[in-house]
Amino acid sequence: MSQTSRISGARLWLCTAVLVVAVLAAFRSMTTVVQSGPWVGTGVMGLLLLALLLVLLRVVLRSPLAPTAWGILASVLGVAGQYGGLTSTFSIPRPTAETLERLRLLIAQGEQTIVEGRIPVQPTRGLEMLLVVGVLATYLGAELVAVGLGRGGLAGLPLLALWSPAVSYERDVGIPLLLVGGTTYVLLLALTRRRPRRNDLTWRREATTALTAAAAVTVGALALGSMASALPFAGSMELPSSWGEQNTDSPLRLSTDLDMRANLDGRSNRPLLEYTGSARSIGALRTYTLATFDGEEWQRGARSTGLVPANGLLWPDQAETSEEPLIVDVRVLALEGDRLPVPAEPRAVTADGVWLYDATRDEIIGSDTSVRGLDYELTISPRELSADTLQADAAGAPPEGAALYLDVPATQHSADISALAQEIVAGAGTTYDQAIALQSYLRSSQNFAYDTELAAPQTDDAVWDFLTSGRGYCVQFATAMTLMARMVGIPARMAIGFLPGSPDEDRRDTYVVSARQAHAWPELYFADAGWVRFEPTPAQQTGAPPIYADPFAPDPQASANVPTSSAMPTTAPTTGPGGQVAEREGYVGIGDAEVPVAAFAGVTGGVAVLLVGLALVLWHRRRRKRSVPHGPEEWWARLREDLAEHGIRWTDATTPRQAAHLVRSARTRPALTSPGEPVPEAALLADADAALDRLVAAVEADRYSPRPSGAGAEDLAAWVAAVERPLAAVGAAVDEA
Amino acid sequence: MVHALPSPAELDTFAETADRVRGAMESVISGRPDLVRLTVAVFLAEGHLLLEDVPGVGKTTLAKSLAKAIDCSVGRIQFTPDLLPSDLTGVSIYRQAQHEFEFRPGPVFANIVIADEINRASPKTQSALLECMQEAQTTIDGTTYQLPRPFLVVATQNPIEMEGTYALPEAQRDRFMARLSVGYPARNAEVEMLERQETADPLAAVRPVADVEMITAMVGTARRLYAAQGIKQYVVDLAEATRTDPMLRLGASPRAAIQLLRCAKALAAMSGRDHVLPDDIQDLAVPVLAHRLLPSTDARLAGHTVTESITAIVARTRLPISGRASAPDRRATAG
Repeated sequence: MSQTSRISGARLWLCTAVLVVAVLAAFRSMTTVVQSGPWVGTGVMGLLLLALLLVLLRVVLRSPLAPTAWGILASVLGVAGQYGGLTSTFSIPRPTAETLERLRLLIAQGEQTIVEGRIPVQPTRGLEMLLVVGVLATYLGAELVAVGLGRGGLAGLPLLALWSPAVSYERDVGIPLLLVGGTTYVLLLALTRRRPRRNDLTWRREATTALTAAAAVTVGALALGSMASALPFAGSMELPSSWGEQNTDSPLRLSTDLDMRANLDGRSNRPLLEYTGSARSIGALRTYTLATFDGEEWQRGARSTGLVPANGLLWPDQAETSEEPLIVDVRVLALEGDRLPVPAEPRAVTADGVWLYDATRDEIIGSDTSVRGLDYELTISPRELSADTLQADAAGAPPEGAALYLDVPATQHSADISALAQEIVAGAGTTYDQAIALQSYLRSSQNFAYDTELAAPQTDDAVWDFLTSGRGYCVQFATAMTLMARMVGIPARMAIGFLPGSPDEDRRDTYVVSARQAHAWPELYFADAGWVRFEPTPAQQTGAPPIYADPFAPDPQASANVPTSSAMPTTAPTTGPGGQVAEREGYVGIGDAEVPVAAFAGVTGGVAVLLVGLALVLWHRRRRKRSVPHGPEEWWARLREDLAEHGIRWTDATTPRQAAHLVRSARTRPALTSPGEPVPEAALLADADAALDRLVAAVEADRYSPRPSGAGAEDLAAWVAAVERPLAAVGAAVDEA
Repeated sequence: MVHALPSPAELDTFAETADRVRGAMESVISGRPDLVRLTVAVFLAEGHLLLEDVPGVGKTTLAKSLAKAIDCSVGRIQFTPDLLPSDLTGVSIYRQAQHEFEFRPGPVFANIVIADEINRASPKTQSALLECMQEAQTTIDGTTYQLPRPFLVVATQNPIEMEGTYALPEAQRDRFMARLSVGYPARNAEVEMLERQETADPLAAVRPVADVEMITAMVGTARRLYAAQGIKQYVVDLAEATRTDPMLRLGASPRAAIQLLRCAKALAAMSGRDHVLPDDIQDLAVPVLAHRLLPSTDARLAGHTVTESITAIVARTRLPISGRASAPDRRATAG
């Protein structure tokens, strides 16, 4: 069986080459998700070496599984050598506990990066290792099914797994790359095809099967797509279309008069400020809060009740903190304005100059006109925020009174918005549930799409226009949530500031906030917790919502209570430059993960399903191989299966004689004997005919005559082999050609 | 029923004699070995044969050639609309001298009865013949007369669409073991036929190659052939499939299943085998079943014939695989 279906000779080399290109194309798509780095070179080199090893092994070894087994061994050794050593270059892997521990730490680091990274992810050494392992595993799997087992179609599954990150985050991989991926797959299918089938009936049946399968896949994909888009995190699947670069050296000043009608202009990557510490711990940085909205624009609104010197812990009311404070050094680069960017959590500020604290607006105001070039130190004492504590909390009134934060502008559609808000929060029991309902509604990609270009105004109510057009950016999302929260009775205000910075490529533990991170978000007032940030803007720009406001967070209670120091894996000694292990702090409340955990779990699940499927296919084949047929009936069934692989098929209603006739006529098909193609030798054919007759007689006697055939196992095996021999000869000759 | 399987010697004789009969017939009917084979098989299975085709293709010649190849009595009736039942079965004539009735047997008292154009006769006469066929006896004026054995009726008929015919009702068609269609000969066979007929009548040259005793023995041999349990199940599967097929209004009767198996045994014996193969059943499915089935209205409107339905049923009915399970029959072999 394996002899007749083996891929060998030129076809083997061609298949391998096509497969290498296919895997490379899929691997290349990963660079749209993960920033380029040494991993690309390592992966390509490893892939080429592995492919060469496997193809040489396949020339020598006949078993389909043995080369893959050797390939796995070589891959493990290679990866261990590359990543298990103390240096970043290749070293001979030593099977010591330290090597294993280093590899384990790298895996943990890779996982951490995947969960917390922001697309395009800055690769850590752990992630690099996972990527290289991924490409090697993909090649091993695809090669086994396509070349080893001759099932080119199944090779699409491992390839798809490698494509899936880029595809599921809708990264722009480029048409040429997609074309290469598709073409190589089709080539692979053609190359691993069992036999040229020229039988009209077979062709029609196959075409029908293919069309049916294509239709099913299309329907399935559409159904899955619409289901997936209903999930809240699917908002992250949207690509920014006009995050244009702005080449300007002028410093940026955050506008306090937000206009709901203004399109968002391109924003640059210029660093506005940078800070050291952990990205997870600091959360969003806020400069201003806004309270009054007139239906079109936001105004400062809340009048300050008096400024106090910014000494000690700065927070509007008594802050309850139990954790160790976190100290962050901030350097303001190209940011203008007199407000100090500070986290929306209780904090103390140490900075040169005179600083005043406005408790009403929770802003820190400098006496100087600009914070540009300032260095300051933040001591952050985060509140204990979790879904559970907020669930137990209720909407409260800020010290200066709730009226200001419940005021909504009277427009033609304020009643409509209010009705919509009531409809959204229907069924939500607590203030927290209502807030989450509003947030989920706005984050749902079914309802809204992130767009920096706004639709033309239709009514006098910008919020209503946004809610009906479904297009907007952070200001629209935040405003809509703020107003709707007010309409259901939760005091709410707008906050303006920055999302957490991205890690600096060169400096460890340094995070850079650029103009891209400029952001607006709503804050809702809770009686006990105070002002709490929510995140209605879809995840592509903002990442996951704060963990306390994330209905899909793993276990907010557990992670919120982990003390700062113990949750942090002791920094891996082996990590190279740029290999920061991001610390998972106890205060992950404002943490922003660009890659949602659910999506990661989906990809992992897909790969697991793939592996199980592969295992089943192998198991089935092995089982078939192990069992030696017993008696004429089983040998007949074996012959039928084998011949089916040569395109000679018959139904359960076909008698043995008719089947024998089919075999003879198939062998002398014009297609197989046309000029230029080899003809089986006459002696071989005569042998096959005689064996076929004997086999048919044995089967008939066994089934229908009063006496069993008496044919021995050796006879039967020899007959089946003789019948298959001419076909194998033709098949091999076609392979060579 | 316990019976001994036919011995190899019996089977050899059977195959040899059947071959001789076929040879004799083929010297007259050129180019249709399959038709001759099925005709002989139906004869040896003690069935009756219905030949249906347009006039002039050799229906009667086929029947006559069979009759001449076997040394037995032959009766021939040309059916006409005014034919009476007594014209078939015979009449009792009063003999003045002896003061008693004397029975003058009709043409039906023969081993082979050729009933030409059976669908030209009135239904009354048709049913008289069909009664003889079923019972192998006839009753005239209160006396029952056994018909000679073997008794084969070869009826020919024109397709019912032709003028001046009375179609056979389904119940009566069911009495025929098989319906064969002669069809036009192939081109070269027709040329050959013209050449043969030029000088002499080939039918006149046919000499008997078997006699009644031989045929009787062969009929017995054929009945004792082995049919595996799976084969019987296969026959029933096919019959059941015709009953549930949406393209068919009337399915195969149990009698049809019995006759299919019996005919298959004769066919298998002609190949010198002591057991029936599914191939035999498949070869006979259309001749034995087609004339008993009625297409549904939908099938008729869609232009599907009964033959197509049967072919489709044969193509989709699974073959028996576990045929060896027929324990009782095998014990009979041993004993």
